[in-house]
Amino acid sequence: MILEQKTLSKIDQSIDRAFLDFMIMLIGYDILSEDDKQKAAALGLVQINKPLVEALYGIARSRSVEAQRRPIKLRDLISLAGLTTLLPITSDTQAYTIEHAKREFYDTLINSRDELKKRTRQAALKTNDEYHKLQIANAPKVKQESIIGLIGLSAGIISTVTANFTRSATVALTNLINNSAADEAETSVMILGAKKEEIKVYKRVINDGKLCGWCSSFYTNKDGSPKIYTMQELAANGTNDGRPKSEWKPVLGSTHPRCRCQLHYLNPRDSDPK
Amino acid sequence: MKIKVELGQGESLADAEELMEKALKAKAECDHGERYSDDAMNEAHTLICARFNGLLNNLQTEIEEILRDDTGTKNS
Repeated sequence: MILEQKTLSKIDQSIDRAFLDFMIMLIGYDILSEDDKQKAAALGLVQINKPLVEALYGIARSRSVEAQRRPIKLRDLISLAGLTTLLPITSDTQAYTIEHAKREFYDTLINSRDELKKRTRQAALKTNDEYHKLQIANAPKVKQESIIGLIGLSAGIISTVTANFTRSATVALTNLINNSAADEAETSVMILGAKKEEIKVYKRVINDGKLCGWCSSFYTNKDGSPKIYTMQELAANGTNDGRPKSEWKPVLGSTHPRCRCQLHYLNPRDSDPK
Repeated sequence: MKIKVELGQGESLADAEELMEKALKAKAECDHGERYSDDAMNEAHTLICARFNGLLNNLQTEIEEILRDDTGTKNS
């Protein structure tokens, strides 16, 4: 056998370290499982900055009224997010949205990590098999370099793991953005003295030829203007996660995988969006 | 429904299964707009995915180093 267990263990450790580093950057140390926390501690990985998800939560809230948005770069928003304080909101709601987002990203990253380990091991078994056949066939001197070409992270493994991560991460990010907008709506509208059940929201779709039929019918009128819902209506529909397509409904969060329809709330002082 | 699959030279059943899974998944998911309505959120999406790609590319280099060291292969 050319690739022994100790080599595969070293590869697993490299994968663990890389993913833990990324997880701490994105979602923070506290949400990790006890096992992952111990691994991170053993590797000397520490939390230096606020997790990116928390900064994005604050930014998404501040960007949730379309009419008030001004062009600004994300890096500048991230700087501002560190300086500004969020509008008051019940701490339970805010904590829930952030916690939910962290868990969604964590699940996505655990799945990606496990998929990468599994595919790498499969490639290792295939490599050992090929090497064994070459030896038996008494082939000319087997160059180990060519064996290494069979494994490592092949382009196929990278593209598959990336595609799966992107799909799930888009769901998590869309949910974070839309739930943040909903949190902001609750706070702002209540400050204005309106009733919670009167909060009006809509979703902005991007009609670039790839818009799917579900989102088009859920969120746009025939003239292309956004459909207005009350936040209560969309919240009552729950999540489409786990539902067959025939049972999909308009929801606050991500309508389906790869959905980027963005929730906005309607400030009572603004006219209906076009 | 039955599907008949003919494997090409060197192809395994696992390869065929992976290809079919990919094809079925692609069919089952919506095509959708590639952007949020807010450019800042598009940047956030790009940032997260770019960092993940960077993670995988760095891992590729690291894993190749491990393989070279453990199999005694020298760089040509």
